[in-house]
Amino acid sequence: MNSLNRRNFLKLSTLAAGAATILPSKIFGAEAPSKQVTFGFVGTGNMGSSNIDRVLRLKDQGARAIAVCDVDKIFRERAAKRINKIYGDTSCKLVTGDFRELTRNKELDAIVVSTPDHWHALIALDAIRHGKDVFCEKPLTHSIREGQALVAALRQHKRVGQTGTMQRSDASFRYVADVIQQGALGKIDHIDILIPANNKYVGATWTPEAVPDGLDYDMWLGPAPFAPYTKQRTHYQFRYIMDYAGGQTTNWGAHYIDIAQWALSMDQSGPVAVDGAGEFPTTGLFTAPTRVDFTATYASGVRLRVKTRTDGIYDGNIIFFGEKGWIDVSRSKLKASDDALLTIGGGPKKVKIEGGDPSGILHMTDFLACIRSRESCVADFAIGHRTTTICNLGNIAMRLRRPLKWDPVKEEFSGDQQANSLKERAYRAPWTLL
Amino acid sequence: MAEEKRAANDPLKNAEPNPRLTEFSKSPEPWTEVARIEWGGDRTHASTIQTLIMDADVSQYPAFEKKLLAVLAEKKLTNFARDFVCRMLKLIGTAASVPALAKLLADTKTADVARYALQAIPGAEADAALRAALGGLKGKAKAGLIGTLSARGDKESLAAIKACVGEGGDVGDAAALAVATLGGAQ
Repeated sequence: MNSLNRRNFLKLSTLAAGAATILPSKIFGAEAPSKQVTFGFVGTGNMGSSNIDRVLRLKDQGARAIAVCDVDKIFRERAAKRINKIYGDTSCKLVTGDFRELTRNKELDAIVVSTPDHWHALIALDAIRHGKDVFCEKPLTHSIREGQALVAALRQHKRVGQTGTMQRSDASFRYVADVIQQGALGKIDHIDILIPANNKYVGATWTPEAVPDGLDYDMWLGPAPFAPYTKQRTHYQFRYIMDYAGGQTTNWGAHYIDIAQWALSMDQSGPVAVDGAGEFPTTGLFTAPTRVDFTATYASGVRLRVKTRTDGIYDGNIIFFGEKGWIDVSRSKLKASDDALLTIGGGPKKVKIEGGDPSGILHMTDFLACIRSRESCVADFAIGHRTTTICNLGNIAMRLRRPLKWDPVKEEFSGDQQANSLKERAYRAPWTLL
Repeated sequence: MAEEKRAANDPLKNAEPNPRLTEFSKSPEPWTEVARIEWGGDRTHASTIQTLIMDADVSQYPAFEKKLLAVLAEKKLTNFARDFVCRMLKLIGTAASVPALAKLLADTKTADVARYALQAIPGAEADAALRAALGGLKGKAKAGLIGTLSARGDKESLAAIKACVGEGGDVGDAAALAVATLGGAQ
């Protein structure tokens, strides 16, 4: 285990041990630093709603939600109402459709970004440049260039950044990464990752529709190319349109590729080659792959294959194959070629949190702790960037349908201008990255 | 079978062609059809062109670039088609595409799609076209252009961008950020 991982492992173990006794009791409140940490939320649907819940549960640790932003009026008003109801006051007063009212607000310490992916980097960057610490949902960014800019800004402005890959805070995944780093499987030969198939569908054509009242569609599009509104473009389905996201490659790949990077101690680096053969829709609103299949190869020779699963299960899983056996881990199971591999050091240190998902709450708890300690989070933006990069490498290789060489130090494709052009995109005006 | 390929002693030689059979040989031409695709319409022909370009050898790019520019010059080009062509030119465009893209860049309604291609096209011609547009564009379109010059790391545009900082609003914000980036301190 490298020093950064060991530190984070120990830190999380401590947090986990604490959380088991703290939540939902008030004991932790007595130990909490007196200074409140004020949170603002940009994006309040789906994951935004979950992230608000997680921060609300940290009330006794000094976390305070005071602002919400959503381009959809219905969502932001609902979120503010919920926060105020749970707090029993009206402290969540800043309710807006423009994220800059949060990122540039001096009363806020931290911003939680849970928007569609095409907005992640620009909002996070604006927050960092205005002195905020940032929790940003996965995939961290929409392009490789955005990830580079985000990591550089985080370091330059000395801010704390947590990527929303909460499997980093899950006992089973942490256990597997740790024992593999310690050599339990010997030398790793290859890794297989399965990610779920797409779970939303559209026909061959679509009809532009009137923008509903309360939705600021121009702001929803933001830096993405203009396209007329149609209801399946926004909210959950955005993830299947490549102008806003990367399909399941980035949606689930961000979680499971992250575990591979962690276990291989490659958090600050990445593979040296990628080759893919996915399938993309040729008409209709959706443009993301309907079948993902790519292989990233590390300098060590380890091959990481990411494929769409065909068994209908809506979860991913990752299997590590080493010279001493295999370990298969997902959110619902942990298996190995030998049971002894599952009980090293007593096995995973599971945590129970009443009425909540332990990994999500521990992940937010880690962010809060790092805001105070100024240490790096367990899923620091540099880590999230490298994981997201592999997802994007996969999509680029599947799109170009040819083997690509990747230089993880320079973060560029070797001798392939076309592939390099896909590392970034020009934004719709007036939005800019740099 | 085409009439001219029949042997002289073929009994069907000179026979009236059956119109139903000649219909079989007809096929839509994707390079023509793509210009008419509207938002929400069947985009299969665009996908066919995309696949041709993605699978092409580098030596085929100039011919495809020419075809894309011909589509871009169509008078009745839809907004979807213009957007699509610019995305393809991002992948294979060269200095040969710059004049057509520069025209689009000068118009606030098409400046964004022009930048989708120009930001990625290497070379001094693209740099010059982007710099030249700085004096003509205003408001949001100008802010977007400044972002593209900054993303290209175009230090030669730094003085002109510095002069935009005082404009305030979107342009001022974009210029201040670009000056920090191009000047060395983000």
